Formats: sequence, structure tokens, C-alpha cells
Amino acid sequence: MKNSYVVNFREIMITVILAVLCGFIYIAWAPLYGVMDGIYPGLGEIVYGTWFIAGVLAAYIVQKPGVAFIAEVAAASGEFIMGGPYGLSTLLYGVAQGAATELVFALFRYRNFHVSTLMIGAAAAALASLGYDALTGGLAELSTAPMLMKIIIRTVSGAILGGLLAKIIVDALAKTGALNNYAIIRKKMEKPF
Amino acid sequence: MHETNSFVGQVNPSVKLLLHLVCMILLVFSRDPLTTLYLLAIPVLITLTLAKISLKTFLVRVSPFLLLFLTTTWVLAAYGKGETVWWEWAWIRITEEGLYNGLNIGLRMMAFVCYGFLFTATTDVTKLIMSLMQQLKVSPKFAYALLAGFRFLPLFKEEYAQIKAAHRVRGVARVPGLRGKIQGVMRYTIPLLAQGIRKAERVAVALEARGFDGTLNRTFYHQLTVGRRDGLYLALLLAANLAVLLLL
Repeated sequence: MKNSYVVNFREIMITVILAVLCGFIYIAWAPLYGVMDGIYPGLGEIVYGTWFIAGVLAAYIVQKPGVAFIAEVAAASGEFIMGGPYGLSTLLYGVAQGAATELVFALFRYRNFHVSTLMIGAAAAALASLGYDALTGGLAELSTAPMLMKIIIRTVSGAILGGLLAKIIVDALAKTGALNNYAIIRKKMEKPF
Repeated sequence: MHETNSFVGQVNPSVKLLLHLVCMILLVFSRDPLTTLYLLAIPVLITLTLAKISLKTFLVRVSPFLLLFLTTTWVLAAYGKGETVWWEWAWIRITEEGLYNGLNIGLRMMAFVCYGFLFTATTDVTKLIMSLMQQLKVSPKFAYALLAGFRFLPLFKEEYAQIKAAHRVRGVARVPGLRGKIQGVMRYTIPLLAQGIRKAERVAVALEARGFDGTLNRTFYHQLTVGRRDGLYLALLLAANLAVLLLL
């Protein structure tokens, strides 16, 4: 079967399940961020990158349009339903970050899932979340130095913890054989001899 | 636990979700802490009256998020923009304007949390998913997958305990230090995710076989409608928010 560009139900299902699992981890992460950021703004941003992992993780496995967006929204709804600390904001973060990650993969036409592409995808989500923070979360009210710190550290953390870590996790996961049905393995197998 | 017998509990979940999002957007327009405090009072009062949630439950569930309020306020007070310096120590510089902004945004965060709590405490997840499909025309593919995902969470907790126990039975040694921590995380994460994927595949096949993937024209057992009650809730919330914003 040729790789179609439309996601099938099985792919949506694993996307959503992986994302909801990520959402679960996010909740545990939130207090750590809050306390670290209180010590100095920017310190908390070091761990912020994990919040972007769901979209990259799923998109790298399935490699089809819409997956990154679905994953981020699903992770956000999971976090919200389970009582995450940001209430309804989480959903809006999810939509913004998902759209940003999706945009990056769309620009590469869903063909290139090199580690650098994944890192750009996660960094784009970081920028989207910063945009949302500027509108509602008081990023714009910070003085210049901490603001710049926050922007730079979050973007870098996004690229590393959201992009590179996703790559490491998925590659380790692929070794278990659980991903044999998905594009990440299939694309390698379908290359012409 | 969901309080779904109350007035708010009977409001259509999609309507409630969209309305709460609109209220959050309105909150962003408030520029001073006092107005934001009044706006914050709206979801709190609704929670305690129309949603019939006891003060105790509310406090128990919302108080952990006070940490968020405190850190947000603190960060903006100590590192925010501002001219009038009240107190300075090392890299901390507390300013009047910063504190003002910090209180405003901290209270705004709390209001976001309260709207979120009001929603989750009065909404049954199954009804929410049904309503998303019926009223907002979300694709059943995504909606049922999400429902299954939510239902799976308790299972994953068990799974995690199982993996831990399996490691202990086999005598997997813990490496001390940071390297051991990282190794440990990978050791638990990978099996958990692999199990998650396998479970998801099985559920996907089962749901597909029964036509839950949107390919068949399935009807719904839970029929949700939009009615007078929803209009009333909409009018109430919007009127209260706009009254505070425009009059106070």
C-alpha cells in the first residue's frame, strides 16, 4: 500500500493516546516550572520545552498533515480535563502551539523529518506560546532583560526538550517494534532498491 | 466527580466551553487588579451558587493553584517594568507598577483556573465529547479517540506501577546520580509509550469495526440539544462580565 497523505483512524488513535499521556506528564511538570521561575524569570523556562513534545512526537511517528495539531490539542485537553494548573488557558496554548508546529512541518511538505526539522517545529511552538503569554500572561510587562531571557531560553529549551528529546524517545520506541505500522519505519522500508 | 444536576451542570457542554473561552478573552481587557478581582468573583459565585459546589470542595480543588497566583505576581512585581522602586535587593527590584501588573495578571490566571474548574466540575466527559460531535461538528474520528484517551488514563497509572514492579522483580539495579535518573526515565517512558501504542491500536480496530470512525452514519444514544437554559446562562455570564467591565 502506498503511503496516503490522509490520516487513518489508527493513526489518530495513537496520536491522541500518546498526546494524552504527555498531558499527564505536563501536570506533574507545572509546579516545578512555577517555583523555578519565581527564583529568577527564565530559570523555569529551562524545563518549558517538554510542553511542546506531544506535537513533534506524534508528527515524527505518523508524518502526515494535521497530526501535530491534533496531538497538541489532545494533550492540552487531557491536561485540562485532568485538572491542570492553567485551567482553560491550556486549550488555547494547545491550539496556538499545535498550529505553529504544524506550520513548520507543512513548510517542509511533510517529507522532511530530520532532527533539525523537529527542533524547528518545537521552537515554533515555543514562539507561539510566547505570543500567547505576551497577550495574556504578562510577558510584555516584564523588564527587558528577564523578557529576553525568557524568550531565548524557552525557544532553546523547546528545540532541545521538545525536538531533540522527541527524536531520542521515538527512535528508542521504534526499536521495540511498536511503530512498525507507521510512516517512520515504513518510509525506510518502501525506498526503492 | 461531577455535579451535573445543577443549573450549570445542565448547560450544553459545547455552549459552556465556548462561553467560558469568551469570558477569558473578556478578562484580558481588564487592565487593573480591582476590575479583574470583580471579574474573578463571577465564576467563583457561579460555582458556589448555580453549580451547587460546596465551598469546601472549591477551596480544596482551587487552593493548590494559589502557587501559580503567587509566582505570577512575584515574578512581575520583582522583575517587571516599573519606575517607582519600593525595595531592592541583589537582582530583585520590586516596583509599584510591577506589583500592580503582577496582581492583575495573577488574578487573571486565577480567573482562568476558576472558569476551568467550573467547567470540569460540572461537565461529564462523555457528554462533552457527544456535544462536540453534535453541536460543534467535530469529526467522530477525533472525538472518539479523545474519549478513549481520557478513559485510558487510570489504566496507565496501573501500567506504570506494573513496569516498576517488573523491574524490581528482575532486579534491575538503579544507577545513582543524574545518569541513573535519566536512565530511569527512559526505562519507564519507553515501555509505557509502547504499551500505549499497542493499546491504542487494539481500541482503534475495535472502534473501526463498529463504525465509530465516522465512516458509517451512526446515530447518538445521548442526544444533546441547545435550549432556553443555555441562552439564560449565556445572557447571565455576558451581562455580568460586561457590567463589571463597562460600569465599574
